[in-house]
Amino acid sequence: MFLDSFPQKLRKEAQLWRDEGLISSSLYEQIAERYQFKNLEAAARDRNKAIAIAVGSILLCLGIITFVSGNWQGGSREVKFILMMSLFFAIAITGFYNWRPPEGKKPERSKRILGEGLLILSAFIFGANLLLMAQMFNIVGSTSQLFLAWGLGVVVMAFSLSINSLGILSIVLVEIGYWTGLEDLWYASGELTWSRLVVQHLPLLAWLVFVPLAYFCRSRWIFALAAFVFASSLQANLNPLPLLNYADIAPWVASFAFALPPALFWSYDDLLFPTINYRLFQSLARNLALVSFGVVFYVLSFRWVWESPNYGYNQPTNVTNLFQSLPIVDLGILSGLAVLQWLFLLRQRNNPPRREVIFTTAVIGTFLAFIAIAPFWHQTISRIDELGVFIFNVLLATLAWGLIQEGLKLSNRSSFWGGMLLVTLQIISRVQEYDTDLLFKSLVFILCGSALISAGLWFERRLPGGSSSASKK
Amino acid sequence: MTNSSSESKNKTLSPEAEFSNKVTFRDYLIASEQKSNKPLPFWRLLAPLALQTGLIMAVPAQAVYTDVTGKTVILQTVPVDPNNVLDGNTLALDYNISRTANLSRLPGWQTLVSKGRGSGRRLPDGTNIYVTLQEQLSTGRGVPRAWRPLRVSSDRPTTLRANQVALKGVYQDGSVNYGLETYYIPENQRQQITNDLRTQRARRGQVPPIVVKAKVDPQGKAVPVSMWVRDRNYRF
Repeated sequence: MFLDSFPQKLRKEAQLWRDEGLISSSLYEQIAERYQFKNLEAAARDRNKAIAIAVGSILLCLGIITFVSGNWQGGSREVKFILMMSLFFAIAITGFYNWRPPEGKKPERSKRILGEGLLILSAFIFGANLLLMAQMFNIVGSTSQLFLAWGLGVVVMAFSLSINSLGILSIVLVEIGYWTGLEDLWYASGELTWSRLVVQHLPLLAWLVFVPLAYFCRSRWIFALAAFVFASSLQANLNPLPLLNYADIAPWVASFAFALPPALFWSYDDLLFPTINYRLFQSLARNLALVSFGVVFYVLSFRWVWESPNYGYNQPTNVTNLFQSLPIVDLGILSGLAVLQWLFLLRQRNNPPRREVIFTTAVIGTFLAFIAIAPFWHQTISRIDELGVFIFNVLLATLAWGLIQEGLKLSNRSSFWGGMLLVTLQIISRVQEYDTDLLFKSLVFILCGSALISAGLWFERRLPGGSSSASKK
Repeated sequence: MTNSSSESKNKTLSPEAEFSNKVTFRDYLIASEQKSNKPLPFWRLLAPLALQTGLIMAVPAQAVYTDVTGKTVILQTVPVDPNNVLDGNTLALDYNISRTANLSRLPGWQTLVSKGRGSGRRLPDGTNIYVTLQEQLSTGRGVPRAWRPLRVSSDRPTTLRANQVALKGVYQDGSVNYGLETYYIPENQRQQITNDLRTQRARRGQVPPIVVKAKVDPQGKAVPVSMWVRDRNYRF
């Protein structure tokens, strides 16, 4: 952003062209008008001001922190509390007015950035305040509780002000809180605390809190992060691998764990929200669905997930135990949502929201059916180790082939390369897994490498107009 | 497959789909920029700020409640690690009533163990234990005498005399935790405490005792108030 000096370069070049007689001076005026050559100096001044403010405020903050920590021991509890709270309020309010000045004033870009920076700083001070309060009152809370409370506070601020960076910060905080609290969920049999509840129901919370946040902040990053938090926490909470984990009491767990994320992502439609009338995130959600299909197929194509585990850790032994440790409510609600989305999707079959070449609803439906049925069959009806491994290898190959085909048909670089990557990954994994000869391994590597190179060169040459279509993605 | 795919390629898209295909996410951002840059009313900051303040206040809420409603008790302790009393900024204490060896001599321990689903004489982790303590008359001024544990039970005792309290603890890994075990010690007190403990240890040749004053609320939750190292009192 600061190094973006294209207008400056252009001005230099344009002056040169004018002097050389390449362009007329009226043309030069037009270019100058278009790229605002007159404002370049002002823009540079603004930039320098912003840099000065940023560096200065970092130094100011350091000074304040050092001052406070130097005199921290002296004050009493009340003084410290008032000091911290007033600092917190002052920074938040200053940040707010810089970021979005009251009506009538013209917003400046550098001020906006400064204001947003101050608001982020206030989010950090909020966390520090939580920690200090615990320290002052000698309260031993868990790390997970601290981060979850911090994330909760920041997420509310992000909703209210629709600031992208605060939204991302809150997701990161909640994620840290989740992973530190997860251990608690499995190994400590303590009483039910609120943080335990949050950790247990994070898949649902991620979907209900962070996805709307993506709309408030108009951010695809937040949507993608929300989807990631949802899918990863679902896997970590259900713990479906190896597949025979819950074979005796809950053989459906693995099916839900693997089928829910792609089903929800693929059928995701922004128009289901009553106030949204533009499909903001649907294509992103579909790409995420393809990614999660890839991950699921890849994982299930390994042999060890189908074999019976020879270690039985944290297996619930009866149904009540199961209800306590697994987020059954979440599964119910999320499955209901998935069904609703699919019904909505099927109703619009005649005017597809996206160009469907290979991955039609029928193909995706078949994928989902395999993901749902094969693990269930394996656990309840009969063990299908060999067949299961075979099915998922075929599915993985189909997905890769489909991606490559789609990439070729739509001249879409990323899906072509995604497919190539999947094929290569599959071949190499299988070669590694089935412990083959070293010579054969080297041969496979060489073949894969040369195939990748030639396919890549061929594809790039085939792309119409070189880079024009690729930049669209 | 080629047939159907070419067919779907030629299929006319719905107006929304066509619109979605043409208009990128960036266009949407630019189009809605004006609307999203409108000045926000002040309450949009105030409401989340109030919630954050509430969260900060909620951290010590339980401790303040206990401090206000609680009854003062005196507990006898030793530092967990006598060689390194202050581990960083915090002081870890081991109470007499944290040790199962001491508690198992009290009446009520046997029923507690047999009630628990743990095997043999061990309690399962996470068991709640209520220890009833009774005040000991202290001799004049100086360091007060620690309260004496009377009995243990798995439920909160309903009838307590005026000079008794029930303190709630949780059994974990061989000892009972009361939420009073670690303290943050300010810089200026750290050196003094370490010196006091050292001199006493050199004189008597044993792990120096520390006496902690705490407040216990009717639910059995405790917060520390102050502690005595030798005859010097430190407020938390």
